[in-house]
Amino acid sequence: MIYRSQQLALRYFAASMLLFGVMIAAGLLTSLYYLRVGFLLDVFHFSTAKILHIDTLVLWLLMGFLGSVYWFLPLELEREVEWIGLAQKAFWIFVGTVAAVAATLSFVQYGGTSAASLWLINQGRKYVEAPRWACVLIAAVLVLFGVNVVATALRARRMTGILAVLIADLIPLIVLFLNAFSAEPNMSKDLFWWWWLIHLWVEATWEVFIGCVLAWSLLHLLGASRAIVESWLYVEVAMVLGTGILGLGHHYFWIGTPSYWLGIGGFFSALEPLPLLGMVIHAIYDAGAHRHQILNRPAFAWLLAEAFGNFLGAGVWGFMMTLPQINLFAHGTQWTASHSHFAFWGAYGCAVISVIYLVLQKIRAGRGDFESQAWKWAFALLNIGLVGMSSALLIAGMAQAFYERAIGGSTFQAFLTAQANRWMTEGLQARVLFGLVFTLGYFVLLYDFWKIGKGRRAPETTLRKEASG
Amino acid sequence: MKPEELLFASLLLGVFALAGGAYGSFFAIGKLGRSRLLLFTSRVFFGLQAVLCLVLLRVSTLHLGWKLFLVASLLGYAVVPPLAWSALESLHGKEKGKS
Amino acid sequence: MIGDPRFWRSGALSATTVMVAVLVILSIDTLRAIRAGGRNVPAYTVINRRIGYAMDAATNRYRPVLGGEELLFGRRYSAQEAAELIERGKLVIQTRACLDCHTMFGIGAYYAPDLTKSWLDPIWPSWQAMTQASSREEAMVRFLQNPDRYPIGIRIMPNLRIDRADAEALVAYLKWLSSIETNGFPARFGD
Repeated sequence: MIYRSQQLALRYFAASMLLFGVMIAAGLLTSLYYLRVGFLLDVFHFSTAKILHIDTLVLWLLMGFLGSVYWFLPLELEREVEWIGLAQKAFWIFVGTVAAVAATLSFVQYGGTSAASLWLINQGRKYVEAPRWACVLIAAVLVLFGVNVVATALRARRMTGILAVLIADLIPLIVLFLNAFSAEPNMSKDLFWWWWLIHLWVEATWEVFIGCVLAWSLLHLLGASRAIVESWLYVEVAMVLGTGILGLGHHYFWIGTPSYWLGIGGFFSALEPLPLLGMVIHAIYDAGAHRHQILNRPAFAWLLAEAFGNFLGAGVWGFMMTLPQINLFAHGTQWTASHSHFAFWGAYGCAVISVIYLVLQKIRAGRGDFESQAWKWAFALLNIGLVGMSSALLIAGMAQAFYERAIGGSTFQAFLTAQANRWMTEGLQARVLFGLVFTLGYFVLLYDFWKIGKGRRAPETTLRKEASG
Repeated sequence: MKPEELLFASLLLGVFALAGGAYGSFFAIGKLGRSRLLLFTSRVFFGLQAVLCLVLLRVSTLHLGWKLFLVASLLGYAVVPPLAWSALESLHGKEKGKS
Repeated sequence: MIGDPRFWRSGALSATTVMVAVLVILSIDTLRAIRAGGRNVPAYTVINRRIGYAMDAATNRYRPVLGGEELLFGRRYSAQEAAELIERGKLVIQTRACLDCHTMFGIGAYYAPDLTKSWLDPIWPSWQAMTQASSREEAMVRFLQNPDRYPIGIRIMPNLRIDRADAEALVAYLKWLSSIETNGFPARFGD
């Protein structure tokens, strides 16, 4: 039996994967501007391609999270989600809004100097460029999502630890989004609050959110006990919020904020690899302790990739550049781009893919083995592509930090000189190649999502056929 | 920090964290497989991490506070894997005991 | 004890509460420091003054240096006029999505140069000649209105239909931006 909420989850996953594809396409396009001078000048601005790339990143992950909750919530409470009809309509509003924003950004791109441009075309603040009308609707969808969760828990008269954490997390998730409407003239103040949205979403509320989703995954994937999973979730919340909230400080090094943030931000963000190492240990323990119970190898492989990817991308890559003395030069270069690619992938991308595999196995149960060659190919291509892109950007970024920042003194001329440097140009070329590997992996992944678990019939069907024949 | 030191110091920091990750991973895999070789490998990586820490203390011009932080975090890396492992074992052991 | 989820729940709650409390206290102080006219961010009328950026031996980092009067476009802006100009400048920055190619304080996209200290860039004298402008601000205005006419190395900025008033507001914005105390970012600027 499948709940209506779970049907909605499947739609969210489909939309998420579609946007994942748009993100990759926009990313590939973005990478080409670096290779050819005047590429698509006055036709399709770099900024537009870049906006599509980073905004769809946020959206495909967010839709993946919403889908995950709509999938697990009825299982957790053993009943249909309240107001699910409205949620189904909201899904189409969400999708329609995203499509309209993409069309506006692609064809109109930017507007004149007036508030109307902010309402209708482009807000021009990184990650929250979507015009205000769209942000209003997205906020409404998020609020409705919160209402779904809370109302269902109330109606079921049940509260589990995972659910309590999720509900508590929804409040900052929605409140912080209000910053998406700001047009504060003072750039220091603007960025101060903007980081509350960006950092505290990505490194606090999203981490907790995905923690809840992973907790449910562990319950269902490994059949782990609830007491263990809930303990694990609380430890995760303590570590993520214990280091992540003041880790916000590493964004306050250079934006006009007082110098005490250098120490606070540096300390808490340099601490971050330690809890991530703990998660790696945990993932390895689970792999060993449950190796005979794992019936869904792709989902588990992606869960492992998540643990290692998070440690490498957020932990190691972050640690390289987070101490203020180094960050002074590394900040705002391709080095940062390298770190963010790897960290987003490790922390969230792998997790969403893992949950989708988990769900596919449930809806295709009894239709054959949940195994394929394709998932291994997709896994290899996507991860090699991603590590390759991050490494190429790291080389380019280190060259940029060295030639533009440390030697050149960050002037326009230093910028141009560094961009023409061979380490930089070849790094950016290699990035495109690995981007193509990643793209190939994406298509194999889609193929596998379509096929896995559908292939062979269940054994008893074959037997019956033989008997009748 | 001098330009020529920038990349050197950041790479050392990266390898420092990476060595910590390798130590933890080999430790956990070694514990799982009860393999002395892997546990030994894990210690080699921790040794490497300690050496890198020493190099950073001696060579780099990181401020004193960050050098102290490095030493403290080296201790953190040393204790996180065994602590996490024994916590996991005692949690799961309890569970098995119940059932 | 460690087998009981409630133990870990209390840990999570107390860690979060302490961190949020510290963040709130620091934020109150920070917001005071970064308001226009606060200890790190000069009032908008700073656009009427000469601004420099130099190594400060005491703190061992680069810091903005505010000098005497240096009028922008030959005008002396009142507090209200300056505020309106800065507000308009910010609106231009958002509507043209400047930070999806450029960075300010290193935040934005990495396709075009950082603008934190662009007002002080040593390139302006030569661009003044290139644009046949009488002053640095005039050269900036001419460039911003027709950037595609002045290709600069391997990057060409697209024409974003910026009119004269918009361009003046942008230049004022960049001048004010360069006066903000940024803990030494960017380092060695112009050395």
